[in-house]
Amino acid sequence: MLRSLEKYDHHLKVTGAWIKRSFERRHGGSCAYYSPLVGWSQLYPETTGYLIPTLLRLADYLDDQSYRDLAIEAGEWLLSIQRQEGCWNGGHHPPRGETRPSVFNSGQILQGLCSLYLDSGADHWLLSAERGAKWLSSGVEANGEWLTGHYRSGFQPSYYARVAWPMLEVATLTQDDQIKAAAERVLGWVVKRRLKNGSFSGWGFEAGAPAFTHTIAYTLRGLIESAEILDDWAWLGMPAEAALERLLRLAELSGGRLAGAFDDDWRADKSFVCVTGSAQVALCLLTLERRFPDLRLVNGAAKLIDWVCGAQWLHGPRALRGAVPGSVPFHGRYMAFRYPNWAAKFQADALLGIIERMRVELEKGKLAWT
Amino acid sequence: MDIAITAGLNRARHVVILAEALRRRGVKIAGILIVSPFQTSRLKRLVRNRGWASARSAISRVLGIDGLIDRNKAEGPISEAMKSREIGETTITAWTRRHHVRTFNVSSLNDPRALDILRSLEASGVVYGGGGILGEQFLKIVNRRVISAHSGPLPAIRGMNACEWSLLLGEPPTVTIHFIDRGVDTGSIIEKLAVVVQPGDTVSVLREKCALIGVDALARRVDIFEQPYPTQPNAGKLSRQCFVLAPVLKELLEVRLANFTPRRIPKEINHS
Repeated sequence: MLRSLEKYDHHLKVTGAWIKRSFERRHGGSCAYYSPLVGWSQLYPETTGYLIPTLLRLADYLDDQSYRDLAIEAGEWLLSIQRQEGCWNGGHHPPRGETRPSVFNSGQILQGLCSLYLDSGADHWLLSAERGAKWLSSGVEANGEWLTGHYRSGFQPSYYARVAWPMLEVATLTQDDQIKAAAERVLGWVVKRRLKNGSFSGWGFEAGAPAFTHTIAYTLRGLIESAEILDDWAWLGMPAEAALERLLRLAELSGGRLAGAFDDDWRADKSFVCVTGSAQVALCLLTLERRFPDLRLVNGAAKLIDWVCGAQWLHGPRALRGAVPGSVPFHGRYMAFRYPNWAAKFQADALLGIIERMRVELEKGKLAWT
Repeated sequence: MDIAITAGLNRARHVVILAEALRRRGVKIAGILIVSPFQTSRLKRLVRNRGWASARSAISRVLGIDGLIDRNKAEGPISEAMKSREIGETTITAWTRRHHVRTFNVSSLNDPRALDILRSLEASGVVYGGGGILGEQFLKIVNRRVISAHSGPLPAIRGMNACEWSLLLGEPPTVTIHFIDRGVDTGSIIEKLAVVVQPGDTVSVLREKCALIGVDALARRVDIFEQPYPTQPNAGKLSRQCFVLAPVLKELLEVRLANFTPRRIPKEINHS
């Protein structure tokens, strides 16, 4: 085994253990983050939802059923807090004050439920996902916008491509054309926001503000994964290519230390690294490479992953061992002073992706032109 | 015809070999510009982007105590060539002192001082032996007559670690002699030469083989400075640029090289 793969394997195991720890405090869900200042946070349904596919992959990779058990427990918890309409609330759980259904958070939870259904074949996961997807699709206007359920009231961001993606997953499993059509309307709305320089307007948390690589990657991954499901690269994949090529180049030129945020003109905020976003961009590159095999894409992903691994705690107090920070420096603009569970999730996904890719390459054995 | 040479390090032995090859061909070397690597801003950037390990590695390379240009390490193609050609000097300044050629230490090939020096040399052309990306002003001073040896087949493999990338991406290892323009390895191609990979070759050995083939070809090709500048652009779509190999890919390549056995003897002439 390559030394680097051994290193990746080690990081993955440490991350997996930390993710497990994020579930320990409460029954069923994962805490949104750990902070040395305030300890473990409340549970976060959205990220618990999309941690589920990661847990299932970890179960297979590590041959450890406890990860699968945790995924099932997480799924059951999510079912228990699903609203009658089919959606889930935004924010942490239990909610403080008025509860508001969330488009984005509901979308992410769908991914977890679909994974559980595909893993087990148990119908109740898909039924719950279908309810959620129907709620989402019922709210999509003809122009592809939701009128309510936003993180910032009145602002629909382009990263909702990452809501359309799980909607399409559900539509594929249930053969529901209405859900599919709604997802396509959302994607059409996103594609129209593509700018000439390859960026997408409004792909951050706020209109007109620079976007963290976290939400940039949400947008791009949503597009390219949807392109694969719909088998329409020209419509959805190609618009994402320019941004992905630019991020690849920037990742390479910075040696993996990708700037934490970019505005619509690609002006970078290099004062910090959005570590989650870097892992997600690496995932985007690996996803692109599945379609267009080219080790140069893997190279860029590897540099990002190596950088993210360098930011991870490998030793220290139990709550920190395996934690991946929101930002480097720790006080950076994204999730300052916190170790989000989704940073660990995306790092784990990226590690799983690159390990799998490199194993394929190792099996080839010979130099290609001989 | 007077020519100028650039170098990224005083310890760049391939530039010593290049200079000697030119001298033996009777080509007059107006001067050699050597980029000084010791700059605080460069070091800061390196540490910030790639960490202290990379900075240590870069410092080792500059001081000549890393594997690539370590005089004490096992003989590689460059050491063997220096012996067989009876070149005793291992630094550019040692060679220039012996052969009365002017050298200039500059912080960047594009800074005003370097450009003034280049102007003063009144060279017919520049043979690029390293030293960073050339700016528009530099190219303009010599009417774009700058040639370089790229350790990979152009236009397919552009950018850094080209030898390594050609092996990984299934392109036969090749050295390309080309003009330098403002793009990354996009200048007009002059010649391509095959690189023979032999069992037991490591990445380091192959890089030296490429460097050696490159400098010998450059020395042969300086006459091109007296010919009209080529106007035809290279054919082919711009390929994705290559960058320094990530550790995981470098290890992959090392494994493949360790398992390499040639299937056939290449028919191309090896100019090494």
